[in-house]
Amino acid sequence: MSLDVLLNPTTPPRRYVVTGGPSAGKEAVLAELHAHGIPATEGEPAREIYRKHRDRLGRHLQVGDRRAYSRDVLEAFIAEYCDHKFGLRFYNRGIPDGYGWDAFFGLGPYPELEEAARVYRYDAVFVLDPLDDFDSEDDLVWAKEREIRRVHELIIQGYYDAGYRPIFIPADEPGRRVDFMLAQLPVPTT
Amino acid sequence: MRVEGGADATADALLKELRALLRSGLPVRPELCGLTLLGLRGVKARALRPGDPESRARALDGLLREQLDRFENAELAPAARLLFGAETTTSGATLMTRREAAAQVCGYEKHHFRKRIEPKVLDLVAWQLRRDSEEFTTRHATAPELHAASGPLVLPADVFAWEAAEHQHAMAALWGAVYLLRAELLTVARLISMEASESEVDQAAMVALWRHALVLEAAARYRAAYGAALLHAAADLGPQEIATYAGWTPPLTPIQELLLAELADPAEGLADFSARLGAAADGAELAGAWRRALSSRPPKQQGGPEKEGDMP
Repeated sequence: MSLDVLLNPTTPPRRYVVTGGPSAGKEAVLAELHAHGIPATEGEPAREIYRKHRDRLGRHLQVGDRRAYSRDVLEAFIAEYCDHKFGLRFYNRGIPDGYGWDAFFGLGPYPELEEAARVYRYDAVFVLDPLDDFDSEDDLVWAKEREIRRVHELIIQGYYDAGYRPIFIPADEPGRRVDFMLAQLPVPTT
Repeated sequence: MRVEGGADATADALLKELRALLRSGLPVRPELCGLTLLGLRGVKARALRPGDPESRARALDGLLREQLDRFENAELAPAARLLFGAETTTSGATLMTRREAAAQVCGYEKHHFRKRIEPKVLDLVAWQLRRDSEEFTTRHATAPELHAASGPLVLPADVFAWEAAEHQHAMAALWGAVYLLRAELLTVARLISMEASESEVDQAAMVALWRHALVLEAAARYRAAYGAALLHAAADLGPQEIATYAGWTPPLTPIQELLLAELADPAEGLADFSARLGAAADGAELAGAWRRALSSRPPKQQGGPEKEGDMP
């Protein structure tokens, strides 16, 4: 199937999530998508929201601040989802990433997240396997403490909780990972 | 001699429970989950509400699906997914139907599959579950392990990475404070052992009190950021427990601990702390009681200080 067919902008919206823990190579894959002219999230909205929260608070987020942050990120995810009306689009993380975020901090899911995960459905979810071996990574002190692995697994669990069956993308060159992802996409219906 | 009898027993129980779960297949039904499966650390860590068996069963469902999606025997992977009902074609089907589909996809006769192949699949699933649990949880009762780095510390631009780094910062700060207190407690013990002058011991005890206050401040900061329990610890363990790992310290009331945590400022030194403690109501009394308790040697059975070991 040619890229032109996949990119046909007259087709109904098809939404695909690219996710994974830190060090999964998400940025490189999204850059590769952009290089191919494939519509995908620019930057990561959650990062800007995070910076704004920190700036407003003047400190690191605490227990009482996390829910407000989660809600703002959810709102941005929903807006990005709804803004897309036609054709193919890849998302830098998706709504169910919120489950992983909350679980990382020992928080249960909140009603708005559960509803959004039910209402706003993606066509498929691509989980990028980590580029680094968790055990051999030696320049990240927190890798040894398995923080990366926990984050990665909690994100995956969030997608299973939301009823998805993620497609795992092995660690590889960004170009080959994108080829692998595109090969999984069905022919769009008009 | 078998030294891992407990681990073997757990592995056997896990296999038995997996066999029972296979009868109904996926999705996992909470009432059919055994305690060993629901007690896996990887399951508890993924559960949104670890205290709730239904939430754990949901986490187990996700974990099983992931392990089947990552099944480590490529030849048997499609059969394993069909057998457990992870594929839509066999989801909710009877075990006999799932077994037949699984046997067919890997080209085995169904009776041979049931007797010879199915146990292999179950063994591998059980092994993957155990490995996941071992890799997933940390031993947070021990300080973060440090090791030589081959290059500069580089974090990906990712909110999860930033938060993971913040969490490691809080843990490192807490453990760092605990080790510094430990050092001062050892100094006090050494000075007493060497029969140093009273003023010297008192001075060392005061330094220990300052370090103790900094430990309490670090624990309070952790609690404010992450709550009363350490994130992702294998057992319920709070920062307060870690604070006690430095060694024996004189008992303090909650109000005294709160006061010390408020007075301790990591950016300031001992002189600032001493001045602020002296100016606080009951501060001088607290310091005096601390010094007396730390520099005396009450009998161990009364909760006195530990003995660090006799020098030869």
